[in-house]
Amino acid sequence: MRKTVWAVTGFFVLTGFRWGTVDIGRKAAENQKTSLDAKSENGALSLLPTGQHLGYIAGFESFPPATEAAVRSAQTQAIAKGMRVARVQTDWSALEISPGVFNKTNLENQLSALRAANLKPFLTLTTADSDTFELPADLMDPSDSQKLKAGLTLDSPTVVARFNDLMDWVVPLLVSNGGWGLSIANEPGTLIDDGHLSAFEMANFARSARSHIQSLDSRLAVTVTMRYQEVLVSAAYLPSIIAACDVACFNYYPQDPNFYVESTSTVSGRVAALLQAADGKEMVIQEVGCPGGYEGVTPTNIGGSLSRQSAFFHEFINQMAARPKLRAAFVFQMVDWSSGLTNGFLGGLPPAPWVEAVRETMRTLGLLRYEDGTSRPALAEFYAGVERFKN
Amino acid sequence: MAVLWPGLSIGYRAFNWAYEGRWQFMGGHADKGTGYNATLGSVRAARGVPLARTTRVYAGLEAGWFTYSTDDDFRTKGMTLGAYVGLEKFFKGPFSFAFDIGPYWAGTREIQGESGSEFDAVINAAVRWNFGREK
Repeated sequence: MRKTVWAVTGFFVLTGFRWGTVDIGRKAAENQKTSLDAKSENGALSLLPTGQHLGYIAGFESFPPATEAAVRSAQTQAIAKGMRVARVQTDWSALEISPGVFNKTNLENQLSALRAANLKPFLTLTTADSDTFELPADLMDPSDSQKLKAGLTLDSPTVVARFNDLMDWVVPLLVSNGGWGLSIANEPGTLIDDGHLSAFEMANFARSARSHIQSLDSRLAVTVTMRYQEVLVSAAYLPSIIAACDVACFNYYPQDPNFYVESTSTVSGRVAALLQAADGKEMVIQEVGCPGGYEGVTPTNIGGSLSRQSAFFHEFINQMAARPKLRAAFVFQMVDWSSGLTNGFLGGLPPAPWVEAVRETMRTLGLLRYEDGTSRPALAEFYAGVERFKN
Repeated sequence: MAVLWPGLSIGYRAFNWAYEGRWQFMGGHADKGTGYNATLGSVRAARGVPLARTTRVYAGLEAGWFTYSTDDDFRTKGMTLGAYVGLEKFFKGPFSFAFDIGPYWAGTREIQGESGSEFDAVINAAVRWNFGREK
């Protein structure tokens, strides 16, 4: 018996072995890392930590004290459960206050705060934002936010050169703070559908911007954020814009054209359709949200409810987990819009069912209620998703 | 109790059976110079047969769970399974030295459709401090 033990030992000593069980675990993990590294060299999100990620944007306004405390607590809990990504959004017009004069402070503060929290940011820097352009004032038509100055288009050499100057400091700032992705327009399809922007201009601008950004740092993924409705209607301009990007990026809300909350059973098909539109590229969901609807009102204008909001996030996270190319998704938003922000957004629009549907959507979109910071049940689904994608 | 290469363990012997809980860790630099840390927790069960008054041979099974992380933000976790045969030599006092070898498999959880696995011979060695050992 002893001879047999020594013979077996001698054989392994001569042919190779590992010291300690932990070492074979290490080797298996390194094999996995090698495979993933090879994959990411062919993919665009090389600065995003491996795996899938859930994050959120808190909101675009200041909150009452109790709500502010709840937001901080939610961030602490999400980080403890494994959240590693965050989102920042700003407009070009807010960064370049006059030609060649930049206000860097706000962006620097936001990015450094995220870095201190060990969160890696995705930056949405809007040139177009839904139904308006967000270029510096001297490049805009002074009387119409849907038009550029006479003689300019988004892909004019003048506009591209000015945007490149902006990128010369934004890109190093973003990457040095852990940034991994940059969207240069949010929902430009609205301007395209309304005839204020051509798809060719948008794609041309994206190609020019991407080329310059990647001359500054080739690892930073550049994209344009599109709406999921454009996938549903097979918008003709969608493929050319996605082709100009490193990754596909969408905003997704489970609501029909009347803002009525869709059945949870539609989520699987919607996510599959988004990935099909991504045409083989990796995908980021910049905004994913579902309104909880007014509480104590049955039925609500939009068919929302706390249980439907929870069920949506539960199913979305299931569908995301089944599709590794969907690399990151950000809840929009952690907090409802306030009545003040909603009224400002809706402006002086006359009362109409769709206006009230939008109002209810924005007022109940959060995982936390604006007024007191109390949480909706969907917050637990978000936390569970963060834990599920922790690696 | 035992000091392992590399780690610590605590175990219990009864009627020629031995049961052990182990914690192993290692850190260093991977191929491209990136720092890494690996930690493993495992349980073992082994049947021993005395060969002489101070020597016994044993064979058993081990199941473990490990985590692995690198400085460049890669993290994964997985499990190990293995079988082994070994020799334990008892010295004066409470000390003994155990040395075993056998085939092991390790596999990681899937990330982005990729998982890692490895099958290889593993040697485990330990210096044990035995409480109340029968002479």
